[in-house]
Amino acid sequence: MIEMEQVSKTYRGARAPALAQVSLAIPGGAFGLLGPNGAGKTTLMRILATLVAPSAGRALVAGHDVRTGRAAIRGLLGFLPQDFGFYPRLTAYENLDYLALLSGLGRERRARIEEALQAVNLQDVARARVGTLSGGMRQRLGIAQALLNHPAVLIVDEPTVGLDPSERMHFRTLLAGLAACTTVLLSTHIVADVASTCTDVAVLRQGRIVYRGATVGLTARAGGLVWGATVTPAQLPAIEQACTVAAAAATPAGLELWLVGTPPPGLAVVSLEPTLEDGYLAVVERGAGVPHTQPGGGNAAAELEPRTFAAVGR
Amino acid sequence: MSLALRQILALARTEWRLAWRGLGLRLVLVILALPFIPYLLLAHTTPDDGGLALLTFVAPLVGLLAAFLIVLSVGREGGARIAYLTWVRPLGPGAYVAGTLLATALVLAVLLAELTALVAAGQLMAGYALGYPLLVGAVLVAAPSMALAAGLCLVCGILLPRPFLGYAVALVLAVLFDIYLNGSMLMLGNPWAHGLFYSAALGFGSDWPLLLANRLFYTGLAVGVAGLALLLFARRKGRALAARGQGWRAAVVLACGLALAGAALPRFQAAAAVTLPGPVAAPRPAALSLRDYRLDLRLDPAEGTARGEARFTISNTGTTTVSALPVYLNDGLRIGAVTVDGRPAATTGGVLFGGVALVPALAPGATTALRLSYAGRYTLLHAEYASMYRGLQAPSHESSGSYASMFQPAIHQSLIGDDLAQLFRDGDWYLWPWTQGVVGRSPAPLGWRSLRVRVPAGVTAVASTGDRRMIGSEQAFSWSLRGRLPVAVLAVIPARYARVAMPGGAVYAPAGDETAVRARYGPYVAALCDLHAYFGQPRGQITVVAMPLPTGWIGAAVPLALGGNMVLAPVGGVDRSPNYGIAETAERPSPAPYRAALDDLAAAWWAERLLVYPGGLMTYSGRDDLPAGYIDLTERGWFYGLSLTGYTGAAVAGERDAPPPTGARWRCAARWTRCAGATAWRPSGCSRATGAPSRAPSARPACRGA
Repeated sequence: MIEMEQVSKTYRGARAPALAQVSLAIPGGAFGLLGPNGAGKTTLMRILATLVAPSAGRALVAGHDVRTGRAAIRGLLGFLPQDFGFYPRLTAYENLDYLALLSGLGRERRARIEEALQAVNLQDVARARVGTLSGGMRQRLGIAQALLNHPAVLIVDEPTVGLDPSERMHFRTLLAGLAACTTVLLSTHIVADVASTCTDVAVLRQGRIVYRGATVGLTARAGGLVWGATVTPAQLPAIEQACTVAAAAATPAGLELWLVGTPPPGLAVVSLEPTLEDGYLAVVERGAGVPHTQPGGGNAAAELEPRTFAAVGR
Repeated sequence: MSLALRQILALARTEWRLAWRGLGLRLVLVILALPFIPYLLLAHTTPDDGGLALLTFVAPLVGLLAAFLIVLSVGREGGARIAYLTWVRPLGPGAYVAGTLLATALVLAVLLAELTALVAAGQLMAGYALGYPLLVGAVLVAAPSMALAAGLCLVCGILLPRPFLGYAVALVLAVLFDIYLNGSMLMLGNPWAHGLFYSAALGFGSDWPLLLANRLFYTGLAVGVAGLALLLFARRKGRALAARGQGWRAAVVLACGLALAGAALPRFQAAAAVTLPGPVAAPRPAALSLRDYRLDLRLDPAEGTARGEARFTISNTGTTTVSALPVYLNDGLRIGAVTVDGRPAATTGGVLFGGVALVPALAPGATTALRLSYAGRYTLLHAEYASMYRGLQAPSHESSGSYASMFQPAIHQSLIGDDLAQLFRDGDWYLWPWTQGVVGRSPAPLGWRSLRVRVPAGVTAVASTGDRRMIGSEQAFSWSLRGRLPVAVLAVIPARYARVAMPGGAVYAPAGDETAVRARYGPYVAALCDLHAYFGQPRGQITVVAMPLPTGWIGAAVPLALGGNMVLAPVGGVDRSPNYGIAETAERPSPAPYRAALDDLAAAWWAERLLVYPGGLMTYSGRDDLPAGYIDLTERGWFYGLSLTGYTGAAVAGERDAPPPTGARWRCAARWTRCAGATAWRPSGCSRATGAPSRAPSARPACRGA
């Protein structure tokens, strides 16, 4: 459904490219996009949403080129950007009605709006002005607007920011349900969202893909690299130099650390079962570069992005 | 419904909702209504034109406010960060721009509708009947002003580095245009067309093409639309979309808008040329003397047409043979049959000027009698926008092509409108031999002209001094033009007027409260009576006719027209002039209303004769037909509106015994306060140069109204 071939994007005046020769294929289902700040996730999504044109390469959404098939892509796309807003003086319903009309919906839009509001549990505030809604409600309204046109491709950028745990769980369920019939591209900092929603994931780092494969594969990248240790505060700087501290908790016995990487020699550690977040940290922070794998575990990364592989394969 | 149309309507509806729910539009609506509220609530401040002048003045400022609304509307999208949600949808730039423009048009339409409603209410208050031309005219005059102001605002806001600096520049430009270019439609670059409405009251037809031909109207629209499009594209570029190509598109839109305006311009100019043939070249005056001029004129006020026959005798006083006689006539009138000494003669036509072939040529010392008939519909096109001081248009204005846009339309014109006719003094309905090179400058002694005007019997008409009798089914008014005041004045009274009798005369004014009519117009009866008495002229019953005469800014306009025993006063009377109704003169304690009336009369009398500014020193120009008297206005300020509070004296009047040396300045520092205990100065009481009075005031004039 989504294909990117050697896509690069360099903004005017920027020293480094935001995206560098990214190749990616997303056949369908829910796909996670992970990466630290500035990795190029938002640029990639904007390119796919036809808001930004790529500097080089080719990107297809549902078979339409983002350069030439802009109108077609926009007609089948649902997009929730990271930074968005609504007209605060209009009601939730009026905002959605406006956007539904722009999406090309006709008389069916009323049902679509009610359906979308129901999906995000906002039907009770449909007639309230957006300016009176909480941040979480607006975020849910943003999700609702992305669902209005029953998109074939849904691109969501940090969708759970501002949601309370309950709403976050609700949203994860919603995305999982949508993934059955829609290609969902989920970009987030929250690895747990990807873990609970997506089966495949890509990790971006400095504009390049450093991992592409199944989520379980990413988790496996941290195999043998996750450790637990109880230390004193004085030991912490040396440990941080050697490995990544994924979590820390103060206990009467000292600091209990969750480490990813190779601990310093002499440190008493216990081996732990890795999580997806550990896999992400291992790839991004510790450079645990591994060849990209196609969904299903095939190792095709060398053919897909040899330079990316070389860059991270220390 | 197509996708694009649905999107355009959605955009327009949303923008409208946002504008309506915000404070900006409501605030503008309130601001817009404020200047009209006193007119609507206080009967005594009802303007003579029902607020039309106000409309034209406030329209550009409202346009600026509307422009601010538009800018807010465009900026709103960025502020609400909805751009990404908008542009990720299949919305084309054309639909986006069209939708936003439609919303802008809706906002402007609401403002225009409010303006029109306010003007209509003002018209009703002023006693006018609402009419299609009036309402459409209001929109047509306000719309270009608003469009241009909004366009200026937008373009300046875009082009200058800081938007608010641009808006400030646009504001200054709009105000300057508003003040300095608000008087003339003949300035094709002037969208603020007061003159249109004065024509509306007195005959509407010929100014319509001018409005259509107003190049700034179209330029303003093009600039406004292109500016908005540019702004919209610029915002798209800055906010969300792929940047390349947007600048080019904006430039293309702007270029197309200007090109369309430019392409359309010649066509509209051609339309204007139908009634505005451009600068008029006055022919060289013939070296002839003129005598025994007689004019028989038939008017049909209902049709606005006139048919006249002029008879006169010319003598060649020069040393060379004269083979053609130029004649001067209003553009709307055409010369018909002409005879020279009873023989048919050939004529040539031209703009304002025609010519009569003298066959055989008139030898030096020879005399011949001419008879010229003419007919047509009087057009205000030239007459209305010429010099206001001369009593009729100054050919020099037209021959040079420089129309004084700062000047208000002349009131000393002879006008024939749909239901109103004014005929007085040297209007160009008066076919005139071009023997002196100046219209209105009498080459012969006073009393050599005679005039007869006939109107249908069913028409209510009042005339200044002159005989009235019935000729068949017509009322015939006859004048022998002599005396110090203009005497040939005829007003055809509209049906909506009522006659209010008062001591010394009567007032014809829009039907309404009689007490108010007496308070507003009565002082003119008393003051004109006193003026006649001062000059020692016989007086009859004074008639005051309320007319929608224009008044001007910065003290430049003559407040009323005067002829014999007749005063054509602006609707609103002393409340209207000279202070625009800001202060209610009619309600001020005595003698303020009387002084205001006297002042107006003095200004009108004076302006009939000299090319002077009505205030300060007067310069005697040595005109041949200058009456043996003068009036100076020593106590009024340059601004009419500012002078009322210091209204200590209305006028100084005097007579000269003998023509002064050419170029001498006459000045009189004394004042004529009021008739009761008046201080009227005889001519010897005024010294030249110093202006010091040397003689005690004469006794109070005998005739004084209530």
